[in-house]
Amino acid sequence: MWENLLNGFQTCLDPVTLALIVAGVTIGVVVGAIPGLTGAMAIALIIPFTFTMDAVNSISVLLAIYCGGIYGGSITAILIRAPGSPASAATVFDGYELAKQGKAGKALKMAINASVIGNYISVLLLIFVAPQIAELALKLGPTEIASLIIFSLTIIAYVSGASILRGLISAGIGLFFCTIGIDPITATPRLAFGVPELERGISLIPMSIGLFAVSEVFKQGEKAFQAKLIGREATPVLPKAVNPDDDKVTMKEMWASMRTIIQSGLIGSFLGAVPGVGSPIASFMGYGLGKRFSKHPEKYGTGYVEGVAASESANNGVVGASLIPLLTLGIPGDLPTAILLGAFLLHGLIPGPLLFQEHPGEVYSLFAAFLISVTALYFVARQVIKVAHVFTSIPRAVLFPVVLVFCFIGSYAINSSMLDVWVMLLFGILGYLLEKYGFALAPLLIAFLLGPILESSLRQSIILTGGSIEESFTSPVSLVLLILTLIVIIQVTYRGFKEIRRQAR
Amino acid sequence: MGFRIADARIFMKLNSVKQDFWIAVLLLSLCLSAYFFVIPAQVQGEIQRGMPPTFFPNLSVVWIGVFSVLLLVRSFVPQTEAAQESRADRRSGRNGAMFTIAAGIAYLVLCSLFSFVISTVVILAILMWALGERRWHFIVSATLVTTLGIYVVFDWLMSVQFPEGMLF
Repeated sequence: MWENLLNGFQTCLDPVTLALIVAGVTIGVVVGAIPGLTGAMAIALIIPFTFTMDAVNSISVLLAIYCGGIYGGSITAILIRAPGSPASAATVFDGYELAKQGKAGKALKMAINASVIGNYISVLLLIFVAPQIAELALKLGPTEIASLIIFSLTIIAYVSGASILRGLISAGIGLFFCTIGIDPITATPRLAFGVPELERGISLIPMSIGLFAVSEVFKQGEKAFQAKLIGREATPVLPKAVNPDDDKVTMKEMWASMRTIIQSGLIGSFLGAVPGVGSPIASFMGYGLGKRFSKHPEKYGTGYVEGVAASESANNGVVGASLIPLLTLGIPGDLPTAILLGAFLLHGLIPGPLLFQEHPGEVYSLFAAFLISVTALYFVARQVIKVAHVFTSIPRAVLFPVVLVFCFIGSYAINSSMLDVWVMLLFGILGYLLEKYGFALAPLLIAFLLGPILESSLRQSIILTGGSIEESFTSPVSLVLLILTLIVIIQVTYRGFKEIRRQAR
Repeated sequence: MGFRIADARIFMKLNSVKQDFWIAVLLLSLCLSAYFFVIPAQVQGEIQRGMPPTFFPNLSVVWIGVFSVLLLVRSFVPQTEAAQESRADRRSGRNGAMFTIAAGIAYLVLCSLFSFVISTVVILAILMWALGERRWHFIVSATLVTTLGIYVVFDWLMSVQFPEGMLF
């Protein structure tokens, strides 16, 4: 293996391959940063340009785009509260709060560090224990996945803000919206109101753009009128860093966040290996569990650099791990890996158990290319954020109308559909109203993401077991997850009662 | 003076109780209408072994309903002053948000009616003015640069077909 890996590094350190990797990472970061445009979209657009390249160069550049695309989403999430991709939605909570405190530089740099470490964790797992992880991931049947999702829903309790009760209502709303579209088992339309486009369901990108970015535009409108009422002039949108430490991540902060980064990286890596889960869920799981086990959970959501690290390490942890089922079993776990599968086939590489035996040179070259991409990400991202910092000096009166237009075109570009733009606007209004009345947005998005997986796995498991839910309690993995869920519910209920008693005093 | 502050606090307390009460009532009415009218009318399909297609939509509605009842009950529990004060200033600046929402809706309608480029130029200029920017040369240049930038990136580079209206 080591010999293959060294040979792989020799291949990838060729100046042309290196240049392609750096270009790929740059394209990924820039495209990922534009709300509505995702890494998957960039991969699909670049594939035709790679037809004439050899297999290693071609797939290396696509992997580099994938790698950069996931990170890129965090830049606009931090600076303008518009997650570039759904994977960065959880980065908004602390990233934008930090930016509002004049610490955008700190948030952006922590996002880079956490992304790079999360990526390294998942790539190293991919190189060294891919077959074992793939085997474990495949042992999760519909019953275990349903239990895993039920457990994942408990993170709602940690991202509900001041009121768990309102967070749970918010989650219910997300659960309701995810049922719009085609029923996963009977394939009949549900709640589509006779609109054919609505039968596809509500797209995640317009929804997340609406909930976070558009609602922020409305909030800025409110603030501008408030300022006018008290005779204040429009101010730059984000305050500047007051002291040098506001613009960088100190060693102390890095060290304090390291446990969370590693924990989130591992969570992302595990979830990335489970087909169909994807980086947005990993990001929320990383954030929720980061808060759960943090020494300062009360600081999450208030502009805490560890919160940025938790979500960014988790969503980047998915990148390498999502290649595990692809390379070892030929199963693409999400959209980018499905597109990558096409690129593999195009160059005569058939992912699956025989790939490592038949093409060890190419496989290890790709591992080396991935490691180089992650390293390149660190340097490229640091340059990109210097340019992105320009957002901090644009007055809010100019920035937010431009953000609204970008939200519009970002939502429209996915399916060239005006319905997606209306969905974005309606979720913007809903997000604005929910936040105004104290409802956190994260539970809504988490329930929306987890709902479809929960529904299909639960219904599949019930059909497979002939209508019984007994297997949920006899499968060891499922049982452990359900016990953990019960523990969290008891803990949260106790906390809720304490909260009510405290408020009643 | 002391009497006035006490008065204001009582008002805020009542206001906050009323607000949670009305939110809960609104959510409950939506849940009831969804459960009894919307879901039965909009979800069809054979009942499969185990769960029918209506199970999850109904579950979500019951979920919201149950927690709305709890919110209704909790609305009668007096709350801390901090919680009340954070809700007290929600009304100020509301017109600004309503204006921005209206501008967003107008933008979408204009895009469908006329064209993306013209609507973008118009709406950007109006919103920048409304949000407090008064330097007209700044408004003009920011509007043109943004529209042109979007056109180059999305139309030329990404081949995204913009929504077509009556003009182009």
